[in-house]
Order: sequence, then C-alpha cells, then structure tokens
Amino acid sequence: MNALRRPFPVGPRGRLLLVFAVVGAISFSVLGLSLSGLLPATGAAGQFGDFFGAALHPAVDYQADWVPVGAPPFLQTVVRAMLETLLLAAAAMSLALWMAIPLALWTSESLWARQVRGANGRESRHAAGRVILPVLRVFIAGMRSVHELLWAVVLLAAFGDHEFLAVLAIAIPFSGTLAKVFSEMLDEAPTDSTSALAEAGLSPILCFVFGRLPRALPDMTAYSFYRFECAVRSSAVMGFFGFPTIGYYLKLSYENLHYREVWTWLYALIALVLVFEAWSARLRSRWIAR
Amino acid sequence: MVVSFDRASVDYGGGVGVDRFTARIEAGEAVALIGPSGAGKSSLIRMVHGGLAPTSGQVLVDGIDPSQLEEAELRRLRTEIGVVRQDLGLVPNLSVARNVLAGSLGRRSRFAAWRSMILPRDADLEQIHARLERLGIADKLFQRVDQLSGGEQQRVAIVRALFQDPRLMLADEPLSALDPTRSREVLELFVELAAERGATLLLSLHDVELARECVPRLIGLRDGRMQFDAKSEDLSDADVRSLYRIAGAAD
Repeated sequence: MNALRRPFPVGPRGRLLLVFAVVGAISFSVLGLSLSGLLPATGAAGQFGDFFGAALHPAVDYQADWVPVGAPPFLQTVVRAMLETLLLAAAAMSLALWMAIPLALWTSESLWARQVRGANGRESRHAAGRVILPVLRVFIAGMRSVHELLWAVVLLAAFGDHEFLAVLAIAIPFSGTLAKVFSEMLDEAPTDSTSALAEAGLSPILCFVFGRLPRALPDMTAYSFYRFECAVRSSAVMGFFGFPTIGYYLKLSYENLHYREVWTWLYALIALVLVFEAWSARLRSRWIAR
Repeated sequence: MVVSFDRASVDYGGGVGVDRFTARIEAGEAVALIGPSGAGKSSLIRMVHGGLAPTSGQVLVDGIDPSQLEEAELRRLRTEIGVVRQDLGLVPNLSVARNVLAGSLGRRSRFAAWRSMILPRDADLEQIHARLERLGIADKLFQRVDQLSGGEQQRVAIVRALFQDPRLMLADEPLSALDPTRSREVLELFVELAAERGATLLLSLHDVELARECVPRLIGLRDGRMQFDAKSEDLSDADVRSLYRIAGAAD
C-alpha cells in the first residue's frame, strides 16, 4: 500500500511548478511590479484611448500635415519597407545557415563518436574531436549569448553604419543558435540507418552524411523556417538603428505621435510574418510530409 | 565465405547471451538459427559482422577474427558481408536508388563514393533497376522509401545487401514485419538469391515450420546454448518442442 501513497505534499513536477511560482513572485516584488502600472497614468487616459483607438483605423496615407514634395505615396513606402525587411532577413539567414551547418556538423557528438573495438557497445571520441568539439562549443555559445541588437550596437560602433553590418548582427547569434539546435538534432536522429551503413563497411564520415544527416534534415529544415520568421522580426527591429526596414518607419511615426501610422507598420509586420508562415507551411508539407 | 564458431560466448553481465557455441558453416551453405526470443540468435549474427565481440571463444569468417581487426580492415571485411537488419535501417527520406547505392559505398574510393551518391551513374542505376525488377519493385527506383509499403521496404533492404555483391549474407529476423504469405515468399527469395550468387546465408527466424520448409540446415538455440544442428528433413518434432518447452515444465 505504501507504493500507492501520493508523495506529500507534491510530486517532483508539482515542486518544479512551485519553484517557478516562488521565483516569479520574488521577481515581481523585487522589481516593484504591480498591475496598476498597466493602468494609464492620470491625465494620460486620452493618449491611451488615442493609441488603441488608432488600431481600428490604421493610416493609409501620411498623417503629417506637411509631406515633402516628391515623397512616394505612403502605402508604397510600406511595401518598400516590408520588402527591405524581408531582404535583410533573407541575407542574414543565408549567411547564418552557411556558418551554422559546418559548425553543427563539427559540434555534433555523433560525428566524432567511435566504437571502441572489443569493448561491446562502448563509445569513445575521436582524438581530433576531443579538441575541436569543446572549443567550437564555447565559440558557438559566445555567438549566441549576445543578442542581435547588442551585436548591432557593437558592430555599428566599430565599423560605422553599413547595411551589411545589420545582416551580420543578425547572422552571428542566429548561426550560433542554429548550430546548437542542428547539432542536437543530428545527435538525436534515429541511428538504425547509420548502423546499417556501418555494417556495410562505410567509413564513419559516410555513415554520418548519408545515414544520419538525411534523418535530421526534415527537422533542421522546419527549424530553419522558424528561425527565418525570427529573422524577419529582428530585421524589422534593426530599423531602430536607421536601416530602412519596418522598425525605422515605426520609430519615426511613434516619435511624431502618428499612432495610426504606427498601427499600419505593426500590421505590415504581422502580415509579413503571416504570409511567410503560410508560404513555409506549404513548402514544408511538400518536402517533409510523406 | 566460411563462418566458424569455436566455443563462442557472450556474457551480458546478468543472463548468459551465448554459451560456448560451436558450429561451422561452409561456403555457399544456407543456415537458419531458430529459437525463442532471447535465445542468442541476434548475438551470434552480430558476432559474425564484428558488431559484437565474443567474451570468450572465437568467431572466424574465412579464417579472420572480425573482433581483432583494425577499423579499416573490418570495414573491408564488412563490404563483403550483406546484412539485412530487423529494423531494415533504410533512410526513409531518400530514394530507393540512393538507399541501395549507399550500401555499396564501402567498396568505392572516397571520391567515387561521394560522386555516386550526389550524381548516381547510369550504370549503377541500371544495375539497381535490374535487381529491383528481380524482386518485383522496379517501378519504385526513384521513389522515397517512406512511400513504400513494409513489404516493399523489406525488398529494398534485401536489394541493398545484394548490391554489395556479398559473399556472405546475414539477416536477423528478416520476416518479422511481414504477413505469413509474404514471409514465405521473402524467405524463398533469400535462399534462392544466395544460392544463385554462391553466397553463404545465415539468418535467424522464429517461425520453425517455415524454416523447416525453406532452409536446408537449422540450428536450434535456447538460452544461448545450441540444442540441435540438423538438416531440415532430419529434424524431429521433439527437437522443435525442446526449443519452446517452458522451463521447469514436464515434457
């Protein structure tokens, strides 16, 4: 009967939830957060209403009273900015993938794992892997521990402003994240095909590339699409540094209190992500689904 | 290839895997290992291709002990051994052609291996097509493996092993995923194809009746020990019963 008794007062999962709740409560009290902070300050109620009221009728034309001669129509600017956002994200992602794939291969345990002869089932690590793997892992951790906005600050401070720096700022942390997740996907891929090829006398590298990599590829592709979506958001925010993506215009509109324009930009960003999501879902179902 | 077991034992710590197993399989012979699960059939097969080293005793393949080989030498030996695994070990999202090709890469130079996977040569594709035709699935050449039925996938795994031009074929429970009619068909195919090529065939089966009808020589295993080693036609029903008798129960 003892085995049937519930652990008191809560099981391990319950304890973990409890820890989260306590940590949350401590954070709130230390930071002095209270729900009243969400209420509009007295006197600012009008601003609150203006801002959310604008959500219902986003701008389709410039809100400013005076528009420079020769300025393109507002919606044309919106489309241009969306395109610019997408292009910046695409450039960053393609660079990130080129860096991430070799890093992921070199930092996956399975590339370096070698069967120890005689000792059944035990695995050791290839000599070169013992050095390369930990060094690259630290390198990758460095890449992704700095957020893309901070990379942008660092790179812009060092090299001035060039669009390539925005691309690089996104590509560095993204390739770090991609490399880490890819290498885990490679290590967790089913091993039956790898063993079958090893039993046919293939070298470890051929087993890895033709037995393991294809098994991880669908997951890697799906994850890359998700990261592309993240790159679109980051690329929009890069506008805060003056690159002509959605974030740049959003910031201008916000600073000029043109709330209806702000909402147009937000909707443009949402539309961009949704369109990309729909497109990637179609591609994925064609490539990955059986 | 000649396979000889000399008092080969595998000790998994707890129970005994294989206990002093001795047998000799001549070149071109077809032998089925039969017995209940946990009898040591898989361990015996894995020892032949060097996937498992005997804890004591010896397994020799053409006079060579796979467990004593350097990595490169073992790989060379393995290119001559075609293995059909119970789980098949196919890559589901690659085409049938590439799956079959992959099995033969061990025989090729490094450059040729990569080249043939990336841009398969017509000569290879024609050969694979011919072998698929023999097994009745020629139209699946460029299909992804995960679009095939279980029986078709089984055949792809067999073709992959055959495309290695093996002198020894090993198969661990190759029929476990097939229905009874299919099982007989595939087993007959195994014996026939191995005989055609003059390759030695060693497979493990749990269906004793089927093994008796299709495979000329049977070795019975129980708890890691050999119970009998006989020609199928000489095998008595008592022999078979001895394999599946519940431990401790009266005969």
